[in-house]
Amino acid sequence: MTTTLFVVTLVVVTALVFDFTNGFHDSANAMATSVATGALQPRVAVLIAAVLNVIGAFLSTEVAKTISGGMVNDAVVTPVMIFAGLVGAILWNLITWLFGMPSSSSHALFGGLIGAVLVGAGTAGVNFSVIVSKIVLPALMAPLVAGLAAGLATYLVYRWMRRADQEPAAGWFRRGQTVSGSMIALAHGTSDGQKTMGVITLVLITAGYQESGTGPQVWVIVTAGLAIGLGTYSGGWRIMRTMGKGIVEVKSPQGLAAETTSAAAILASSHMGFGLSTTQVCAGSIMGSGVGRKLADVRWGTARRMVYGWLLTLPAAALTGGIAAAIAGTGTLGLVIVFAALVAGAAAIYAISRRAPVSADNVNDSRDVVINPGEGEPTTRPSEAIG
Amino acid sequence: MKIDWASLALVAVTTVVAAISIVGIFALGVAALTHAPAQGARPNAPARLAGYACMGVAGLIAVYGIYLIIPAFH
Repeated sequence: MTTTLFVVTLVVVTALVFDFTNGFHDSANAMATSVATGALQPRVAVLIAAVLNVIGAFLSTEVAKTISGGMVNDAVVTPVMIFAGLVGAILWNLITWLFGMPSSSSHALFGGLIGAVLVGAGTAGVNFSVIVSKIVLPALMAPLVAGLAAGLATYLVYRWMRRADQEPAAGWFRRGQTVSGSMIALAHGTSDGQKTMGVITLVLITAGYQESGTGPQVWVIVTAGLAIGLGTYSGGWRIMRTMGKGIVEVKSPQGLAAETTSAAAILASSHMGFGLSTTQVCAGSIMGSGVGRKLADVRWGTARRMVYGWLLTLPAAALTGGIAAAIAGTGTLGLVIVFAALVAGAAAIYAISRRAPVSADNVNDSRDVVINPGEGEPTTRPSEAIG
Repeated sequence: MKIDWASLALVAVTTVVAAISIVGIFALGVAALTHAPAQGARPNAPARLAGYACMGVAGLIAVYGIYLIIPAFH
């Protein structure tokens, strides 16, 4: 096996692993409020989200032309840097998952790449003003815009219908949630599904295995689609709990308002040129739906920690990606060491998560994701009937 | 540094207007379908008709959303 083939194989495997973490990290965006209100049973919710993600991945015809959207100079990016960036992104995705923190997978990927490029090619390879306009500003705007819209929508619903969260109205809102959550899942598949395809395709082109300017090969589409689908189906229950229960106790009218707002914001931002992170939009919508309902208790401590997490995502993934690039850049042995460290790190995080596991069975039982059993605030069972 | 404030404003306004309209129409439909004249009674026929009309409009907006999501359509 030649070195190039070895590197490419490693990058493809790592990219698919990243795609998997992307799936379970973002499962909550589409389904957390539907799970929290009982609109969908947890396992049914993730099955729907997974199927729609896979369909979305197959539907997306236009694969990302650049990996980073101009944040780094793509001309200086090598497959080893992409590998290191993916390692940084995967580890950050796993750490945030352990703490139940929703954070943007795209930002983690960008961060990892930026760190790897900084180490591999110096500051000239990184475009800092694009980072501010494409990461920092949207990270501040997304929760504000989505929060405002969802807050107003929720306020209106409760203004008109004093008994909106009681039967039979609640049942209608739950039915509506099924549709709005599904829209988010489908939109997610078309956007994030193709990111990994783009990464793999660019690596294949860089390494000379594929003609420049050609689209992704069928096996790339199939494996990337399945990786994100499997990731989504695995649920990411820790993040699901934070999004559905940790920020605010969501009732079905709020869930509908939050999901509809998220879907509208995602579609508007992807069609009008100001890209907003799906995760930050969805979290902002949920917060807004808490503010909009009278007496709803937004847990601002959780919200604040989440925002810190968003601001940390880029530098933390960049640091990990940079370290990975420094080691992997030394040669084949370095690559193997980084890959081994990734496997060991992932295994360690998974082992820690087993101390206080969150699953489809207990996702709604507590409001907090904790590392040690026994901590955290339990929830009262939702008063709405599950039907 | 160039920040595209115009498209940011456009996205923000579109999101707010779309969210309020869609949720509003849906809530109106729910209100019409669940507002019974007396305890246990069904809503009268015009209310039900209006309710289902609202649901239909919300459904059409969802279909438009699917059209926007799938790139092959445009």
